[in-house]
Amino acid sequence: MKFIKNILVFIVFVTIIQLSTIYLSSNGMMWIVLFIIGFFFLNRALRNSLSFKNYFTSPYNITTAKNCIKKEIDIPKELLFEKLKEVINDSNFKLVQTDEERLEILATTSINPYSWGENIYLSFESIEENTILTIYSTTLFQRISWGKNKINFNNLLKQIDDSLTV
Amino acid sequence: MPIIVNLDVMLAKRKMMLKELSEEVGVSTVNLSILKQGKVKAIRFSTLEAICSALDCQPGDILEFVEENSE
Repeated sequence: MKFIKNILVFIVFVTIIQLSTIYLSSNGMMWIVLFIIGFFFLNRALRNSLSFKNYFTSPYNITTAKNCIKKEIDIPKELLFEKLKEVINDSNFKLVQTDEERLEILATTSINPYSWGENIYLSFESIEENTILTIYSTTLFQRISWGKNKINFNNLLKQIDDSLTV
Repeated sequence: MPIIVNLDVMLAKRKMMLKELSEEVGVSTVNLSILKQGKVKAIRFSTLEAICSALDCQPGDILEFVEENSE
């Protein structure tokens, strides 16, 4: 299914390139279109690694829409880290990468009518016995998230809350 | 919180590891750890039943009410 989606995206972009060569007379416009498409594929390639968290969440990255919330949860951070791995595995989010040393999690959402998918970065910070959970949700390649970032926060927080009934 | 979870006491009495209980009860060790620390929001009767069955004890052996202002 995912493979078919990727092929469809590829076909859409090849079509755009073809159409742009027909309708855009100047070479300059053609290069701009190619640059934008190249940038999209670059973002798509970089999204699956925690190493590029700063790239996607940076305020200087004008190609993504990002939101951040912090929530205090009264569970120690190591335990919450393990708990969230379980929660994400049982949810619609896809667990992509975890960093056991820095206690960071990267999850993604699939392509939907509002966006090309979002990246969700989770990090954990201890405050006495509690944990401050920081959730970043960034779009892959668009300036407006159409509310998807907030929907991601709400879904994740609800799933965490629900999972605390054992 | 006025409800104290004595799961660790019962585990020690039965000389059972959390992992063994997890396998027997079918609840993840993460969830049992959170339960042990009294950080869960609620506990299902089915989970309580499975824990009591595995540890051969009563719900009162695991959960205890202690008034907040008591020393």
